[in-house]
Amino acid sequence: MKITRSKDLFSKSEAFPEHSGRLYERVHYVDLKEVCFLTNSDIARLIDKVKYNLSSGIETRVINVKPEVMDQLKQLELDSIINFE
Amino acid sequence: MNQEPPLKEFYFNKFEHRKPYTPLPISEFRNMMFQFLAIVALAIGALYIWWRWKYSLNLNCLWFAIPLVVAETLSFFSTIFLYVNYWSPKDRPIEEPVRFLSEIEDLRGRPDRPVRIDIHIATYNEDVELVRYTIRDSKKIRYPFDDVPVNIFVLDDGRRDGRDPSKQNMKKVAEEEGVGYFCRENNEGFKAGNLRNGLEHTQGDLFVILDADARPFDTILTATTGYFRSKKLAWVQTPQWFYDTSEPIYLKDWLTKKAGWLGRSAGWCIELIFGKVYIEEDIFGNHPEGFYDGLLRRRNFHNAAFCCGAGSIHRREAVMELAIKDYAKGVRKELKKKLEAIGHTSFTEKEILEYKRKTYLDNQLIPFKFHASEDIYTSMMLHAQGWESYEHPYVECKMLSPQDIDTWVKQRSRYAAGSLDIAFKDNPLFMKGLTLGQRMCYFSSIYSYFAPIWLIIFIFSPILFYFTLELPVKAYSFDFLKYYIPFQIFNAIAILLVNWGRTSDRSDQYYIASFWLMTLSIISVVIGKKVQFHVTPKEKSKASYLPHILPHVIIISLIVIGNIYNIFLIFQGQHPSISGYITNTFWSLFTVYNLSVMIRAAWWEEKDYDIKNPLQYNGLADFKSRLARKLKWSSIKSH
Repeated sequence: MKITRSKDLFSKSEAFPEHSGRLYERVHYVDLKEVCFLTNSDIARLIDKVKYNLSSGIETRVINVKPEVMDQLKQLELDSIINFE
Repeated sequence: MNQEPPLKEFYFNKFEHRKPYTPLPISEFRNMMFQFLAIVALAIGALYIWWRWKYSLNLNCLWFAIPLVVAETLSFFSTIFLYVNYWSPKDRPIEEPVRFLSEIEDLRGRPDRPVRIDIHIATYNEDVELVRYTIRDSKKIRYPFDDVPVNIFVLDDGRRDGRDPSKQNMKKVAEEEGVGYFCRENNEGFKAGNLRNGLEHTQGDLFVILDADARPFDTILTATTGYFRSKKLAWVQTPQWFYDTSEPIYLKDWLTKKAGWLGRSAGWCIELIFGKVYIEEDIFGNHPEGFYDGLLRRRNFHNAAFCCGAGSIHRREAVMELAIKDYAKGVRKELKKKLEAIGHTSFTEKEILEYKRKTYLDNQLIPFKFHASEDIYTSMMLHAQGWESYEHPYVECKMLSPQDIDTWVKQRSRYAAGSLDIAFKDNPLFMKGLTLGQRMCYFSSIYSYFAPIWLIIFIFSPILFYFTLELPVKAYSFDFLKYYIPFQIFNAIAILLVNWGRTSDRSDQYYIASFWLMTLSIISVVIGKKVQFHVTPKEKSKASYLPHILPHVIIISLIVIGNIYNIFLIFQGQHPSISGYITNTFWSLFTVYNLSVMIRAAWWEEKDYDIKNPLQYNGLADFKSRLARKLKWSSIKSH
């Protein structure tokens, strides 16, 4: 039953289905096309993912971000921390 | 059907029958009377302080007069803060428990689903069989909706997963009980880090925090989750009720045991005058009613009831928001500092990116502040971000209290040092986002730990008088009494109204008797010593208690010697101020009464008196054995 921290954490997010995004030339693209709201727990997992990728030398880019989600992230002042396209 | 492993016997089993206190009914009239008397007391108090500064100082003895008047002024401020805390109760109605996520959060396009609830039991080094009790009681928690998952997780910071055969196996107990188990490879952030680890691996929309010994009642969720319909509510704190506080002893029995028929006669006389008298009730002053039902519950009025850890129910979204904002702030601040330090122009974009990468990785998402007082610190941050809290007045879990003075001192020292550390690092008076009421409530919690500054002066004032025969005031005249006595009377009645039918004697005693541990805490924080997170032991400590009570013994001895000296001078007709002696003696008796509780607590041991045959008691043998145990004097032990 013991669980250790792993890269699978991200897949637990309700907003991001399992194995969401695509890895291409050491850049992980996370597609938020279907997402119109992120809970704080989702965002925490996104940050976790960004950090995990960084520790493995992979950059994370979040794409197709809806304006309302962007507003949410701006409110939390994460727009300068997470890369958006 | 699998049979559950039997529960181990512990000292607290004999207290299982005890029932928690019920909250004081709110009375509008009583509260109005309190507010009126509080205003009158403050007005008279302010007049008294003004009179003290302007007219009463003994100018021939300023070295004594000034510290005393400063102490009185500082103490008066604490009364103001106390009244602000107590100003008004504000209970919320208990609502039906929640079933769907939409009841506690705005869905904003997300599909609705049953709410998820987790129970997190944080443990470090406690007996795993003790934790089993908490797990068993957690499993008995009722919830009216079958589709609402309630998951229990043991968060073990002791890495007792079977890898070390010399340790008990917590993981095995969790598996036997069919609950989740998480442990981590380090103890970063202590309890706050442990909770973070639990949050990382779980998904409860609401989660309950329990300590290893915090055994929930089956109503904890049904009584509290309904409050979360208020979508800004971050947490609900329930009172921590210690069900193992010391049993009261009937004074007549005690006297009989100590002094045979003579004691019995004395007991009979006392009973004739005062009625039945009990002693040693809650000798460590752990009974929490005054704090939870008096102070914290009334902080609901200011939305300033802070989290006390165990027995609290939290909204995940709230703590995660705090974690994210803190992370973003930390990253931005550090990055700015780093880039300014290296200068933008001299580095390539790639190198700057590398700095960014390092900063992102160095910073962490921390839902509960990594601090010795993580609960109050996190509460303050959440309140500053506009979240609400609520102190639920009914007891929903039972806990174990420190059973010896060493453990008690360690626990209180952590509280004191942790709170003082917040004052120096993130003073609530200047924290952005807090309301005036919240600022005052949080600051009053911290301010109370500065009490030794005035307590020491109050405690030593009679002693200084006894040996110098100097008075800090011009005279203990009618002017002194006309301000001082009404202030004390109005203050006492105001507090009486708040604590209607509830005694605060023990906590008042400990407020003064704790002056020494609070002094040490202030020193340790001022010199920059890192505040350590010590888990409160659940068993009796074997450490010597003498260092904790030595200052108390010295002060009481000085008071006794000073009294003998002054009585001698009075009989010789050489005493310069009889009224000064009388006033200081009243004051010193009050001091002795308050300080003695800690000495008695240090000597306290659970007794199994043979009530049927009290005259068989061997007082001398009992004294010797206690002395040997407390002070570890092997020579006495051998006898």
